Amino acid sequence: MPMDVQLRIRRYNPEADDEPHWEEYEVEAEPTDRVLDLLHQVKWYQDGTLTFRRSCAHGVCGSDAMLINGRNRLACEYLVKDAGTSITVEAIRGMAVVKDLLVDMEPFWESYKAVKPYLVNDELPADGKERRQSQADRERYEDTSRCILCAACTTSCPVFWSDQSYVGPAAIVNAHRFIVDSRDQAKEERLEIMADPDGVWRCRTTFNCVEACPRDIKITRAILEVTSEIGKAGIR
Amino acid sequence: MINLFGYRLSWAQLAWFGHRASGLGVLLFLFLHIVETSTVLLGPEVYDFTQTFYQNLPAKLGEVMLMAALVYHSLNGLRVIAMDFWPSLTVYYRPLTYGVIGATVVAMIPLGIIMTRGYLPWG
Repeated sequence: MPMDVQLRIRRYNPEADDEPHWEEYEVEAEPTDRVLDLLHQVKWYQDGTLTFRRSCAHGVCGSDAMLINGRNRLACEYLVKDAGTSITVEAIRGMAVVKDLLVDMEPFWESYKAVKPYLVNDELPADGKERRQSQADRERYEDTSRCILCAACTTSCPVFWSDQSYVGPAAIVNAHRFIVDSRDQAKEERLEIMADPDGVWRCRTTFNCVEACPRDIKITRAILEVTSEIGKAGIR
Repeated sequence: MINLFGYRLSWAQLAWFGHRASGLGVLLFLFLHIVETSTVLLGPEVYDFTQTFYQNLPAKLGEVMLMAALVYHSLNGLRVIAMDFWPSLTVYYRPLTYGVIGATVVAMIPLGIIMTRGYLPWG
């Protein structure tokens, strides 16, 4: 049964507007439509100037994280039947808005790259073919290896809102993924990066990141495991 | 849940705000307490006079709020410390947060009655 949905979108064009402002659109939707479908309706049939980012549109690429009804979510995963008939959509917080719902992700990628999010191991495997790992060792980074880098966690964090020099939950999750990997050899280097004043110690355990993560990653647990590793390594 | 700064406020985020607010409140009272106690240097009469500021209902309610801030800050601090030592506890952050808020309310019922008993009908 189609329903009428009131869609409020916070729009901003730095080249034309002094301030961001709200614009309202009436769209017809099925309860099983996603918020992304509503944005498509607006862009394709009502106002072609609406700007947002999306790629796979199926919760895999993580490009359409938005602040929807007051909480960070993926527009391609949030259904109208859950969102209701009055929906607000804003750009994620703490990032410079390029236009409308599109933000400059460059600082986010810089933080991500800073933690060396790749396996570091210069030695040849013992059998010359592969680096073996027990199931228990593999399990240690199962959760954090599922991150899709959508930035929903980092931009839900009050610490990040107040100071973007904080490396943020997403970068810590991706550091954790390699810190606890038994095959990796750059653990200490990553822990040094994490122990920086802008690193892992700035977490205030508000759990906004956990609630925002579309992959249900136990982010705060990963953050506290990294602080624990820093303690065990004696890094100050 | 209500929105704060345009973002939906979760109980865990509220617990963090409460921790900051209660910590600041207790710190402010500490300064007030130092100033009030230091009046003893000006003589017992001056000190006794400053103590009369506490002998009224609004001041007593302020003391109850101070106690609530101390109880909440202590319990929530223990929650945060416990998660620091045992990160796996973070999986239970919701019940732990509700538990701290609930325990504060439960503790403050007898404490509030005891502290304000002089103003109660049967006091």
